[in-house]
Amino acid sequence: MLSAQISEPRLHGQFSLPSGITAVVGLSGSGKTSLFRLMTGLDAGAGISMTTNGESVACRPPYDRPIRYVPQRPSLIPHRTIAAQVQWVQRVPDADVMAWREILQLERLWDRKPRQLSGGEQQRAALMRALAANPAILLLDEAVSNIDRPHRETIWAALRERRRPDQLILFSTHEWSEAESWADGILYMEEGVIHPWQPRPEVQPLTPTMARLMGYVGALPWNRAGQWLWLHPSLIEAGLLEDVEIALPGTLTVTPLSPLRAQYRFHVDGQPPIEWTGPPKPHATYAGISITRPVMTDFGGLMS
Amino acid sequence: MKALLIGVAVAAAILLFLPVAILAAHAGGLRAAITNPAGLDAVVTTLGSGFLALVLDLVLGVPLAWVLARRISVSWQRVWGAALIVPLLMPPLVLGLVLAYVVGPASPIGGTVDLSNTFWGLVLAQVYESLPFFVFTAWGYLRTIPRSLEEDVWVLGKKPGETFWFVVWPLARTGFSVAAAMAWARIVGAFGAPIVVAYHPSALPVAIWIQLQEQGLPAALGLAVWLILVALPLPIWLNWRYSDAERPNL
Repeated sequence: MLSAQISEPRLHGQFSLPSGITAVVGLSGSGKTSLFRLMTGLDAGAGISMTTNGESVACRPPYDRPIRYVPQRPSLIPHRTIAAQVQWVQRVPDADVMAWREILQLERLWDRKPRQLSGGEQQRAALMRALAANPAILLLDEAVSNIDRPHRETIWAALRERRRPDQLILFSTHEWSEAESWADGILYMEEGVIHPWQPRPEVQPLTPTMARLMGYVGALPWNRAGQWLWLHPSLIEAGLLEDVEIALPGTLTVTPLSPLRAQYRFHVDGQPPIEWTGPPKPHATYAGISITRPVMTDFGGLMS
Repeated sequence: MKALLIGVAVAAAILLFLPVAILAAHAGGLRAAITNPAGLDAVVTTLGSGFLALVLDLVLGVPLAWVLARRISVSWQRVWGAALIVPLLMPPLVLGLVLAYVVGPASPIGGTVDLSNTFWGLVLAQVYESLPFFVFTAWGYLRTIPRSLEEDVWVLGKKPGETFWFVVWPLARTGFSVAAAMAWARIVGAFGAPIVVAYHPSALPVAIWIQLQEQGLPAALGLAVWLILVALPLPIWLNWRYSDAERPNL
């Protein structure tokens, strides 16, 4: 359990994170790295109070916090072998190191120096080093971004499976699919504002930019109370179906792009058209769309 | 263009080594210089005081260079860089005169422990002449080692002391050894400050001066060859031992 309250000139918000995996999601420049550096203590901040398991850690130096951090840029010691630096920071049993070494496929690279490794290999080694340092809280700042996708999935699966019950892993990403696939909860950031933590099954867009990140393609004004209906390709069916929460009349045009993909364009009178891509459909036009799980918010706006 | 560059480089090398050649040609007998009891004493004094002065340079200079490179913000580093040039620019003779104020019998310090014309007075004079060179050189090297290398292991639970030895030292030791070699050259060649503060016991540069006055140029030059012979092994060893140290950008 980690609670923090931050009120810095360029970063503010408060959150409480349960143990598990949390994704810190935001566009580049939203303050994800600033948040991580503040949490580690690498950047001093007068406006932060932070407790882990009820104990205040904001006044402690970086090496004395229960937090381990893997930055986005290469962070290995350039003149030491992977083996030497892992052993130097190691605080877990040898068996754990051996297991992770296999999962991260580092056996062959074990006695090499970082300059002999590719970008993805260096990220795997940096992750290995942080895991060996026995993190109670692990911060991964886009730390697996250069690892190829199948391998990345193996690593996430292993992190989920091998995580201690009280362990907390925070990873930053600007890819919604990654957050959606591997996190138990989402912490969304935009322009230095940290929005409240949301559990994955109930996550809702909190701003138009977050909606865009999540894959929403547009919003329509819904009622007089000023609510907006958000459209997501995964939640839309072509045509006016029965037994759905919302059937929205309008003109839906489907233009094939390839045997596997089609361009959708939905138009309601008085509103700009909304476009997205999806699977091909048997017909070229439909009399509207049906929405199985509507998402309504009190903000709207068209997205660029 | 290439030929011109090579030509200038060759001319510079000749200019650099010319005094050494002249010294070798005109020096009196080496044996005569060293069998002279004053000459032998000067060699022993130089090595003894020089070793202590170098140790003091390291003890004082390594922490100062580290604090300047790591604990001072970048904008203040500029100020410190300018400030450090002042002791560097102090003419050694003036340093000696100022030191005489402090350690001479007329000052409160000198009144308690009179260091003038003592072995420790000589060591002090050598430290004053060499320390700015050590600090300036070591600081310049330390600044090239990215601070992130240290931060990246602090966040893995490693304390700054452990980090210094495991991460920084292998990268910094080339810089420290170059700084030590520079300081050593200043120590064994220290003349201006010692001639004021510690005429006795005479280290080699002052002894050369005395020989010149008493016995003429060939005797003085003979002792000068000894100065070079005595001073050379340490920088050569440092260069040989640490020139292949790790570079941070590899």
